[in-house]
Amino acid sequence: MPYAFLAPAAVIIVLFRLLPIVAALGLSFFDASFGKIRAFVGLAQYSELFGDPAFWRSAGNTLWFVLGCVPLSVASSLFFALLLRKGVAGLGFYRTTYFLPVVTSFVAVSMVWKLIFHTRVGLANSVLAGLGIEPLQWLDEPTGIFQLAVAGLGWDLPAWAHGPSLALVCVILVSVWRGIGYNVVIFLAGLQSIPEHYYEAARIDGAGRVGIFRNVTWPLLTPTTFYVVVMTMILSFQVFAPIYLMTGPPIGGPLGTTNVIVYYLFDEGFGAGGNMGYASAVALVLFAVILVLTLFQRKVVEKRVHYA
Amino acid sequence: MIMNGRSKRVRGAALGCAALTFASCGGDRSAPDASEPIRLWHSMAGRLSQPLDELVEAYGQAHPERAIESVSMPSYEALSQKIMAAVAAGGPPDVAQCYEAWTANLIENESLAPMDPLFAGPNGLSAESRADIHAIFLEGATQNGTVWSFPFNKSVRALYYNKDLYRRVGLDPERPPRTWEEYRAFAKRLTVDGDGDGKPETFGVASQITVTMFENLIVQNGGSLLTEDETRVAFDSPEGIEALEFMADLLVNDGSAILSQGYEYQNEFLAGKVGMIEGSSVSLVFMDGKYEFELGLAALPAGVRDTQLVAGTDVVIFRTTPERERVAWDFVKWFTDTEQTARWSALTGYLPVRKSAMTHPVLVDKLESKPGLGEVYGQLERALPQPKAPGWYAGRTILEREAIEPVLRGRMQPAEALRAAATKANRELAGGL
Amino acid sequence: MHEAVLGLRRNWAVHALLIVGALSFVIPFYWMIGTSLKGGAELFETPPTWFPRSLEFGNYPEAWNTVPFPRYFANTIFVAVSIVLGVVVTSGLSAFAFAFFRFRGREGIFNGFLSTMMVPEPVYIISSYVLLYHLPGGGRDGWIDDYSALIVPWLAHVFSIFLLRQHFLSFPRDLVDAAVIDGCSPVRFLFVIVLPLSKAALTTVCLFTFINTWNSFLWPLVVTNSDTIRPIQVGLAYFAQEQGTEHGLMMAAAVFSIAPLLVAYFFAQKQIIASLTHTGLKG
Repeated sequence: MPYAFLAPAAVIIVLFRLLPIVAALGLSFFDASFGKIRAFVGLAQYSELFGDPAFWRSAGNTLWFVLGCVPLSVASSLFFALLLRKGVAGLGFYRTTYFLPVVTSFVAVSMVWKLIFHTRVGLANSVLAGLGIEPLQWLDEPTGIFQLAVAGLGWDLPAWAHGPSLALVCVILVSVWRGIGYNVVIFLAGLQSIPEHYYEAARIDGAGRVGIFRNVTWPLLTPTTFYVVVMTMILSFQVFAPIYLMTGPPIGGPLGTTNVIVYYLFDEGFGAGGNMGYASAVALVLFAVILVLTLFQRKVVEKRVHYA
Repeated sequence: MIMNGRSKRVRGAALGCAALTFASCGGDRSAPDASEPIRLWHSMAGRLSQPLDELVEAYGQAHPERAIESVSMPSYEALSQKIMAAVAAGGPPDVAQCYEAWTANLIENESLAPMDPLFAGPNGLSAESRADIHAIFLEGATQNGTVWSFPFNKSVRALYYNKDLYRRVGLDPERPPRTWEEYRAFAKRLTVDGDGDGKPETFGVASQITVTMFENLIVQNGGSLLTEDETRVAFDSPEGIEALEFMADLLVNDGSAILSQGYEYQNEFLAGKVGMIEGSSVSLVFMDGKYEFELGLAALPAGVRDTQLVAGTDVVIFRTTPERERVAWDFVKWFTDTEQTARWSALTGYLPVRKSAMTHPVLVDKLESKPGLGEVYGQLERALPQPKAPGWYAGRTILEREAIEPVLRGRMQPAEALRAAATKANRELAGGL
Repeated sequence: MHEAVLGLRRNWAVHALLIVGALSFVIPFYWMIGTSLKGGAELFETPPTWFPRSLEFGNYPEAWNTVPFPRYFANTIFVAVSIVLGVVVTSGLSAFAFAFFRFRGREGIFNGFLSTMMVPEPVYIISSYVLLYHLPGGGRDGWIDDYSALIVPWLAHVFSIFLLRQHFLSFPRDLVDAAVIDGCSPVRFLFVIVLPLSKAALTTVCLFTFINTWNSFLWPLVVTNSDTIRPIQVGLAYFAQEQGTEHGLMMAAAVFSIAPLLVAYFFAQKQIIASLTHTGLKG
């Protein structure tokens, strides 16, 4: 009897999730240019991708993207959530405003931010001009931000230390901007679930605001923080829409610095290469990385999470 | 246990289905019914979509028993992605726009219907009709002696300049640059820093990161992109290095050019911020109504040779059923017939496919109304075809991203960039697919 | 006294920061609307103007008529409503089974479902394309470029099953026992007892399913080709690529593409926020 209830969902999930996932694994072992299964190549495509500098570049870009997004998003959402927690007047208004980008489609968000970062008619450069700063190339700037920062002082960093390109940083900012509201709400819920008596006890003990945060808020918030970090990390590894809409041509952004993994595999599978087997291999590598990192977080980091 | 049995069966079924998927993957789906509309996939978007739709509709009215369904993709990249995916799944459209370089891949994949049988068929091309088509178009459509595509929207490059700005800096507005040296000199003159703050208000040229300007410069300099037999690249020759140096000089050394992203270079020109741009003969249609200065239109300056590479795309007919291929061909033949091709050219700026169209009243009127347009069209007589080697699609991308972009951004020197790109591109040409 | 003053100053600082934050979220929307109301020449100006010199509403009808936006909207609504109905039915039934029955392999199947949630979309999107192409029915390209590819694969949603199961598990044991004693059939139990008590949870599922479907991009981008099937986000993205530099038109299109959701948002912020973040459900 219960199987009958499960059947509708099960059919859909098996047919449209499980089956393609298994097929992707299978596909990755074949050379599938133009869909014709030409030959079984076993693990050859995996070793090919590990030897492809374009893959590593996109992996590097993706890593910068994640390293930029996660701390920035988590820290800023936590910051705003703490400000809002004090039962501040207008909580509803702030929450509504902060959440606005979340309900807006990424397509529309990317379009307006692309305009804001426009080198000639964009808001960003006109703000800089108002501050007396030279206009920047924003989404068209391949130079790394660390290099840009020190170049103002007349120095030069070695190539490996340039950091993510300004173009990639722009996409990071837009991504973070869009997601802050979401994380703020999650943090607020987490903060609200901390029983009041812990705070009272701390205050009675004479703890100052910093002490309270360090000894009460932060430890008891760790489950929420952990959740936000993991979710943000998983999502940022899969970034696609803003890259597709805000960067390029040329494909992959200025000097290829905004070519992230999902875009790289999209282009390999559907674009120039047309090799869906290779693209599937890349996708599976991405999945493996996310899986490993998530498991790592659960095994190692989660130990430090205080569950009530 | 029941459950284990179930999950084993589920897993087995899944793998079986996966195997089936692979087996049928790439094979043709049961061919579409002859009565279903012929599908045309294109990327004639924005201001080009209306002329195309008009013509498609006109065909539909003239042939009510044959419907053409046209699907528009927003860009050539999107179009190639969709074609790729459709071919991979085994169900391409009937007709689609196609660059020469993609054609090679599709031929290898046996996805295309060759044109020669269609030319020779009942609704074919007479010798006279064939001779009316510009030879260079047919040459570009021929690979290894077989014609695999047909010219559809071919174009040439043109020089657009702002006559008002010319007057302002003391240049003769009726005298566009005829050589690249003049072009460089004019660009310098047009770069004006009125208030002496180190930031010019107007520039000579707006550049994009694209292979197009380079490929024309190199052939005008007496060089070529590929060797004669198209097995190796030849863009790292001294002629190529000089061409890329010229482009870099404008940006980096002279400071008379600015680098724009995508189609923004057109906006810079329309806003009166730069005096000259190199665009397509089709750009005119996109710029219409958006400028308030007097627009000058001219042929590209010349180098050692006065030539350029033909631009634009052909269409290809996919292998479906003989019946559908014939209908698809009928549409293509109609579209490129004198009357239609003249109309298409007058509406868009794409070149007429047939020589006889040049005397068609619709086109004659258009050429008379736009001074300079005739000169632009005239460049076709001196043009060369694009390379056709299968590996060139990837090779061209390498040239753009690993040589032209770094050089224009001032990261690399032309010689080393071209040589490095040549090594990689040669690998693509050698490997083919 | 001292503390009160300090409290006041801190309060000002808090509000100042919050307002700066709020501005940073609102300004891009203002920019979107402002740009959509600017006329041709003004769009080229450097630096850009904060207030349009004259309100040019013409961008809206022009954008609306250039590509078949009404069709895109209709497609999106049809697809979203279908998916919401499907998800509610499949998730409700499955969660019901998981929560109120004991059967062989219950945990195994549930965990199996959950594991598919972990796999990112890029992994299965390519093989899905091929699979969808070869499925019988649909149009010329199988299910590709047909509503079936947009709807059917999304009719079941594991996270919704998870959520509803959580909710159902919170039902007191006595209620279930009483129903069993009364000889209530499972179906009756579901429709007469469980569903009426699950309005909040079901609303949550409906809301976030609808919103996520409205905003979905990668999947429809890959599985649709022609503009008769195209949903709104893909249509908007294509419009942006085609128009390239027509900022006024692009912003107008963006505005009316997000308008429906924003209107709904302003009327039902609390529910929408709660549903998207799943903070509306305890436990």
